[in-house]
Amino acid sequence: MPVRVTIRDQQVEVEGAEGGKPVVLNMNARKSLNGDIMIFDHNNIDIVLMPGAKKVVAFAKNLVSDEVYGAQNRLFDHLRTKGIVDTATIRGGNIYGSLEAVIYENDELDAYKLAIINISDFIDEERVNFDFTDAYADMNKDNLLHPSSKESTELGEVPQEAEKGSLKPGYVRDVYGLSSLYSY
Amino acid sequence: MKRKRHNKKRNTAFLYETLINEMTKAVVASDKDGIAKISNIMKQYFGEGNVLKEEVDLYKVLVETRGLDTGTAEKMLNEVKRVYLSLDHQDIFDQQSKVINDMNKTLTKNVFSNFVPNYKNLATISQMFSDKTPVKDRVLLEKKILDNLSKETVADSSKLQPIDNLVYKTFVEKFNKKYSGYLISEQKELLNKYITSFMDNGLELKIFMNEELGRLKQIISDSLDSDDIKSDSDMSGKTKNVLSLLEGFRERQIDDQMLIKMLKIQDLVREVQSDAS
Repeated sequence: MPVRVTIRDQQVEVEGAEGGKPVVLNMNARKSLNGDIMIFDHNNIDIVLMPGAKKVVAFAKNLVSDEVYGAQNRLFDHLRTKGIVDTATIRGGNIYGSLEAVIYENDELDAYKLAIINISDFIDEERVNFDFTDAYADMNKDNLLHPSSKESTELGEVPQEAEKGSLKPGYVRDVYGLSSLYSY
Repeated sequence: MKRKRHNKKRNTAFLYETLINEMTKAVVASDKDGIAKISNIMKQYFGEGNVLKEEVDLYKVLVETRGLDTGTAEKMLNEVKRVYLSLDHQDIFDQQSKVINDMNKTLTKNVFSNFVPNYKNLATISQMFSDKTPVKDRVLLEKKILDNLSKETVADSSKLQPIDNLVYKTFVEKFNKKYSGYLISEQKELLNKYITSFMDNGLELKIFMNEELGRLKQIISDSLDSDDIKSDSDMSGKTKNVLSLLEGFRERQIDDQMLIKMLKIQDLVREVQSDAS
């Protein structure tokens, strides 16, 4: 059953064939000329809904890793438990790091409308995780680039001193954890 | 002898740069109140006729000038030093104290933690100006500044030449003329997706390849059942090789070699289809 999908700035509006109130979803998506809807919100995967081929495909964003497979696995698990995709059709795509599944067809319900809504739900569930990962990475970067005054010295030369930090001249640290001074 | 540590708050050029930095932040954040406060401080302490403005101008001469010969660089440095010595240092100190006080009270203390990219150069100049720096160090710092003044600015040789519409049109016409007879529509589409793949992290290319590989596999696989191939063991073996090559594409990243092979297989598939029909 055809649905009308309107994509605006960071929003996807889905309308059923019989009209009615459209569902507005907050997603970063793009629609290609052949009708494929590309959803970019997830940190690890790009999700593509292909009404022409009647399937959902998840491509690895950059690096193929356990995180990517985990995200793809969770996506199809979510869609499977919601009854959107056929479990028997979940398989690796023809491209490295991709996973795809066929969407069930239904004469009474808008299968694609439900698929988009459920993908949006999945992203909302995952958002907490990847927002946390982003914030953690930002915090680490910030810590390195803009350290607090306690953890840094001013730019420029640090004056030389004979003794600095824990390094003491003449003090020997050996493999057994014993430390002694050279006395001979 | 322990070297005296450089105090960045007493470096007028640093104060100026960090205020500019803070102003940029306020503008980006559309913080009208912040913009007004910073603007007031800038006007009050770095406006025309203020001794801090004169000092900042001297810093700018030393930081921004490049590409001088050694003689001119030395003259420039001496002249800057002469002008600097003629400034009222007590007045500079008092004005600095006032601006630091104002920045602390009106803005936040974090303003002094702003990242100033050319801070190291500013610190070098400040230490060179300071009469508390030992003579030996001052001479070394002067040498460093002279080196900077005579350093050549690197010209950007990688600048792209502008291409006008006529050149572009001619290029497209020539390209189409040369390849229109050779490339089939699927190959053109694949190349098109590959060329524009930089725009969306290659997603459209991946989508196209995912579908196209599926199509190619299907046709090659179907061709194994055709009488021509079934009867010829050599052809049958080679067709299976192509099929396993296509299967192998799912285990490797997309690269140029893969695209070249795919273009060739597209040609092969077109041939298989035309033979079948």
